[in-house]
Amino acid sequence: MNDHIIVKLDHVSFTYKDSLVNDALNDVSIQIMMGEYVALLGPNGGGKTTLLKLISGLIKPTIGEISQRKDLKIGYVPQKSTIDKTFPITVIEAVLMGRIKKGIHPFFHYRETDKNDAIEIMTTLGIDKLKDRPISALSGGEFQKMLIGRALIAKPEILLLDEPTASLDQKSREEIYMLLLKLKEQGMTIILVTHDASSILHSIDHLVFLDQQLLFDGNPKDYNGEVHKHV
Amino acid sequence: MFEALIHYRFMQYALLAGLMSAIVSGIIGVIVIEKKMVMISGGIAHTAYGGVGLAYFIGFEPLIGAFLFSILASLGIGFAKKKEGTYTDILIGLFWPLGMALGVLFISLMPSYPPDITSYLFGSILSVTTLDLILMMVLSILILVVFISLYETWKAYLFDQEFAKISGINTTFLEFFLLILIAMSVVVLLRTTGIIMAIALLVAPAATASLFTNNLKKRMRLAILLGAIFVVIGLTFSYYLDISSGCFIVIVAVLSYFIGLIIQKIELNRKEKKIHE
Repeated sequence: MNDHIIVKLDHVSFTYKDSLVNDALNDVSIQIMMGEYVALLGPNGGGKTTLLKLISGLIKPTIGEISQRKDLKIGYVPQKSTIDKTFPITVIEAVLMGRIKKGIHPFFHYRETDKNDAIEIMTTLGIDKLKDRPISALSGGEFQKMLIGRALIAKPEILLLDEPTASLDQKSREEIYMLLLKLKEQGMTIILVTHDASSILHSIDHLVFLDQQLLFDGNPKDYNGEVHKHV
Repeated sequence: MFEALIHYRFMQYALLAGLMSAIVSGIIGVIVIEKKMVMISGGIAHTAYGGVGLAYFIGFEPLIGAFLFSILASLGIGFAKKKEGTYTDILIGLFWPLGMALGVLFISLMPSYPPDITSYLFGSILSVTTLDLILMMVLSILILVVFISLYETWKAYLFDQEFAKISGINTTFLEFFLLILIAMSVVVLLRTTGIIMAIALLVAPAATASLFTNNLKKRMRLAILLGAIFVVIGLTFSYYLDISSGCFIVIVAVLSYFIGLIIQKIELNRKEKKIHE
């Protein structure tokens, strides 16, 4: 694998076990380069989240192969709606979870340095004042930032985000996009699933349009009008 | 009752058994509620009845029979959960009555006069034996050690299973382990509330505690405290009225949840008024 390629999908298809008919993804081949800011667009059910889960390693391809740079550190920010917002923990406890030790380790505890790093990241995200709040008391935007903080504390090389701006107000959306741009400038590879194409087209390097199969893969400037109608 | 507690071993055993039940249900109950596994727990508990029946039929300790059956049920449900779709729900609906049916069958097949097994169905805290107590103690300590030693891992897993998996936690292992912990808790609760009402002691203290605190550890501590109070009240009634302990524990526990709901509502109204002022 080329040094600059961080993730490569080679003719990947995926079918969910309980679905008898359709492939969620059909014969997708793409390459993600180091430091790229990638947007995954496409209709609902088009396989965007599935692709993100495949890259994260949460699910394995039914057919095809995914290769990653060795020991790639992945940060994952799931769709906010899939997380239990009433779970009884504070913001700092949630952010710290990004530092959970791999494997099963009896009597594992977060260290003081983990806590300091969590506060530092929360300060960058502007949620440090909320650190001892229960997560149930957060607004949508704050909750999203907390999930990003949990991913960032693990110091990932690639950040995968599943619709991080869904159901957020304009101000919070802009804040999230600004943050992602800042991370990109620091050299982070970012893959973003979104419906909000118009807000990001000017800032991304690489656009992937999926509707179960790959309909567009390339520079957003070459983004075809026909596909654009779907967005 | 205090005098009885000092003088009679059966009362001391009952209190110890009750407190262990409260501790176990406080911890596991909070998890069961958070993971929405109430029905799974009910299924595991009822399957245990088959084990009690088998133990009587063959002639070994009923609590061990219950333990074996509930572990088997939890493993079965664990494998079904891996298969996606509605399979788990169906399996619970089948295990639940199958366990009961096997229990009835084994007891009916017994050549001798059938034993009184209502104590396993509805709990009989005043008839806890030394062997019951030892088994309950071993299971309770195991549950406590496993939970406390892996607290942060459990917390990350319970909050977001997918994220835990990506972080390199073996979530399949934890999933099965949790089911086994539920099976073990059911066995601990068997003598206190009985098979039929075990869910109540798992759910009610944890649910009541969830009304008052947004902190996982505090929620578990409060659930343990509430469970202990319910058990002591149940034990007291059971002692004076000579009626099964389980029914009083369940009635007090369920009532307390609704009282908790009312208190929470009043508190919220008061806070809202304060804000408006």
